Amino acid sequence: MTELLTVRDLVVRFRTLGLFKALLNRVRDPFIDAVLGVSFDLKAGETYGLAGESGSGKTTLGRAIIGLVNAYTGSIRFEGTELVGLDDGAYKAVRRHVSMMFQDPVASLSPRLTVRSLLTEPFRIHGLGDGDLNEKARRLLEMVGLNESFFGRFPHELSGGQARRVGVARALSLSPKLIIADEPTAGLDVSVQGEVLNLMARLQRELGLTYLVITHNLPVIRHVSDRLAIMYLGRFVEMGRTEAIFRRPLHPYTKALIAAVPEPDPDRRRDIIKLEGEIPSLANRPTGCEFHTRCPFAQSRCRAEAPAPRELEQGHMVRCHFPLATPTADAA
Amino acid sequence: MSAQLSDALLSATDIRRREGFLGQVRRFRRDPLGVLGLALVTVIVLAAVFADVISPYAPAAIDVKIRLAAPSLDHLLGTDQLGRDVFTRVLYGGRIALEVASLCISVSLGIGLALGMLAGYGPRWLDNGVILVCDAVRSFPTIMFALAVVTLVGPSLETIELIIIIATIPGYARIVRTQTLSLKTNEFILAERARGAGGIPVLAIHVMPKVIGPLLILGSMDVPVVVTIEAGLSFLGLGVRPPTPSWGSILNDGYAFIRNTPWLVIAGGVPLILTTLGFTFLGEALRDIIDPKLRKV
Amino acid sequence: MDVVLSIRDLTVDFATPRGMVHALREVSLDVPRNKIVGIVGESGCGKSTLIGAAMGLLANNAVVRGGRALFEDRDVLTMSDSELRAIRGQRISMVFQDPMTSLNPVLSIAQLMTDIQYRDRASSPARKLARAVDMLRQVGIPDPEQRIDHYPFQFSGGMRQRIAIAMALLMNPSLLIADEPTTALDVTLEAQIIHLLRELHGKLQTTVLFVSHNLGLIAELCDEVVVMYAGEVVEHGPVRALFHDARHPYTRALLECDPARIAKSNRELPTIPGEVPNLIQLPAGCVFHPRCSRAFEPCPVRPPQPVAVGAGHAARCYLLSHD
Repeated sequence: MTELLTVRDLVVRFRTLGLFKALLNRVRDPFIDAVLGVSFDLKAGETYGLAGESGSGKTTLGRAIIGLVNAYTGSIRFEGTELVGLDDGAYKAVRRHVSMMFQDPVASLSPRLTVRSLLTEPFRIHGLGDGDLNEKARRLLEMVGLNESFFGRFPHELSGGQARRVGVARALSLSPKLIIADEPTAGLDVSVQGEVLNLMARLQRELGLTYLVITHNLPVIRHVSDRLAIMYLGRFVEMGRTEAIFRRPLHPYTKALIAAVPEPDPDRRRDIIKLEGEIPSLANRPTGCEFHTRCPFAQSRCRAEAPAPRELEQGHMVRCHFPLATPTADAA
Repeated sequence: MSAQLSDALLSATDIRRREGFLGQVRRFRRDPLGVLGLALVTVIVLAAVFADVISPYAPAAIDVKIRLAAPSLDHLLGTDQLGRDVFTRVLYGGRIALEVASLCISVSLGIGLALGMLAGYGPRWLDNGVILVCDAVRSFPTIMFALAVVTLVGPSLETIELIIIIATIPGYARIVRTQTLSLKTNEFILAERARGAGGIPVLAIHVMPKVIGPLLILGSMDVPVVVTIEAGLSFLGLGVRPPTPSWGSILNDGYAFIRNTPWLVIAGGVPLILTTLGFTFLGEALRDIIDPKLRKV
Repeated sequence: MDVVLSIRDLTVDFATPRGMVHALREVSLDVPRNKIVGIVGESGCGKSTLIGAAMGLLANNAVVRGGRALFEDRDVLTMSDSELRAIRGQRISMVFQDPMTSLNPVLSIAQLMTDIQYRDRASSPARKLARAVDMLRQVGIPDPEQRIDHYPFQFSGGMRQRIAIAMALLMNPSLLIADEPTTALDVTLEAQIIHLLRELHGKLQTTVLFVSHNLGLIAELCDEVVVMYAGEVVEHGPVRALFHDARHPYTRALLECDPARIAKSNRELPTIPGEVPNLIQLPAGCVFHPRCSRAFEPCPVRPPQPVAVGAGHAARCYLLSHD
């Protein structure tokens, strides 16, 4: 498989205070790094998952790829084209091939536009207004399992599942290669959630799409992604094949995240909580391994020295001094 | 609390959004003050538009034989110190007042809308600049500002209009800016940007429809303010030049001749009061129907 | 059995410009003392209306068509406003979904927590403060003596939800209603809060009505479960019976849909076809029949009645009476 997207050492930095306020309050470093040194590759046709809690930088990473926030340093290459540093006009060409689905199925649709306008507008933005736009819109609706009768409806007249389908149709409108889906199941009931995910899987098979799925929902990402990265405070702490990560998580944080998902089985109630405390503030990154403040296995080395990413198995990376399992120990 | 309880019941705004135009008309009819406002506004506007049809006199026709006459069938509101028919002058005065109001408000709404959206959506320096200018203009008391400009330029209808436009732009611009700022981070705006839409289309297609409704309501509620400013300046002799009739100059005449007749003051004052009441009631009723959240502003 | 909250055949409509929304129909449920009862259902199932009825907080356009909501043997629906106020916050208290908006931002935690003790005229302010500090310690706020003078915004989301729980439990209520208390939180914090609720329940013997759409949380926390669909209780029973031997097709389908239950990684996820019915024009017969894979002749004709299938376990389905 070929690499569709290559991200190297990406840093997204936000200013927390204006120049004057920072000077007045004598804040030396009025910046936070929402994404810090992230590198990964996206292969054509795969589904890549980005998982983490709020504040982990997963949404910012997705937005940096599509150019909604600017990268500070690092490189994002899409089909060989460097995206970091592109101006808006040049980015527009990229956005034909990369589209994004946002969290809230209803709120991400412009409220005063009908479904028909919502679907035809992407063509106009990109100067593709010729040809029968209605026909194009109708085909898009059919692809996501809706029909023409939805043309005249406004977003608030749609159910969550229908709105999500319209969102998928919009994302598909310019025949993109990559779709970045930010929490594609947020706000949907369990019974509808499966429908949307199945639809996305079907479209991937039919159209050869590549997905970057951003979510905090581990049970969902487990079923839909081929490979997965776990983010904590803007870094990848573990990365590998989804199945391998769920079978044997190497990072204590990954393990705790998986364990925190309650099992729908009253006979398997947990008595201990794996993880105490909350995510530290990005403005106050802990020293050493940034997870040591919450890690049940933290030792003095973790507090002092930041672990480098290590590849313990083929394609399975972890950023931890004391990974939970080593391939040798496992083999023995 | 109500948000927590509303999964099955449609929330109040939901119902409002879903009831459609007919439902809004029905709700409007149930608001007696709103209906009164609409009636007053309709009468005032019709009277101004058809002033030349309604009245047989010319507004500036002088007839000294009957100066300061009391109301009669010939002269419904009597005559002034030059024997001009006051009823006619009130009708034509309304024309001036509404002309000034509609022109000023539409121009300043347009400029305010554009400035506000640019400030809210555009770069930080532009925002800071627009806000600085707006606050500077708003920090002048309107009347002082008007007096200064009139002293410099000389009184005329155009001067009044210019003053009113400059004085009302900042208010609109600030409101539009605030709304744009809060819309800017909404997901549907992000979604459009991610799709490659540029700044101007985003503003025109997605932001403007959301801000324009409340803005129009505010504009209609500002009509009495503008009418009052025009009348006030004309009362002071700094506005519409005689012999053009204006409610302000009629009031001023009435003030000068109040010992001779009360009718002039009444004829100048009552339309002002009715206009204020009419547009305010109508504006409030529309606001409650279209956007109940604005009630707090 | 000592029942704290007993809802009997409650039917509630909402008058809207588009017609009557039939939010609840003949809903009955019991919350026994010292138990945790879970209500599970998807959006539009009526769980929020049910809570509103139990607290006497139904919206103005609500019409109670019939039934009672008995809290400690008194009908909440016929109480006067002052009687209701005497109960709310004292005898029944509530924890909301969003800890960011459910605490008044301009009051310190100390003020918030002494204010809710206003009915206790006998205690001195110092005594009330001490009680508040003690409760904050019980919900796991570190150094409560200092932290109590802070304002809500100075706490993180998880800590705020802990404070909300402390406030709800402060007056030692007979019933704690928790409405999706972890939906706004991350999964590790969710686990902490659920753990806390369980621990406090063990220690204080509080009766809890726990509302959620998350089956995992219900399984983890509750003793009994009520499954609601489109304004009806379709199945209720002890938690084990419900998760291991669900009898209503909807409950079964819901359990199958939960991706956390599917052990094998699978691209094709199970779903329930169709949409939740419009609450203004309900389908005739069983509300679930248009989406039910096992519907047969009687289903579209008349609504089924609950059929007992075990101790305290009943479901509304014709399949059960035809066996």
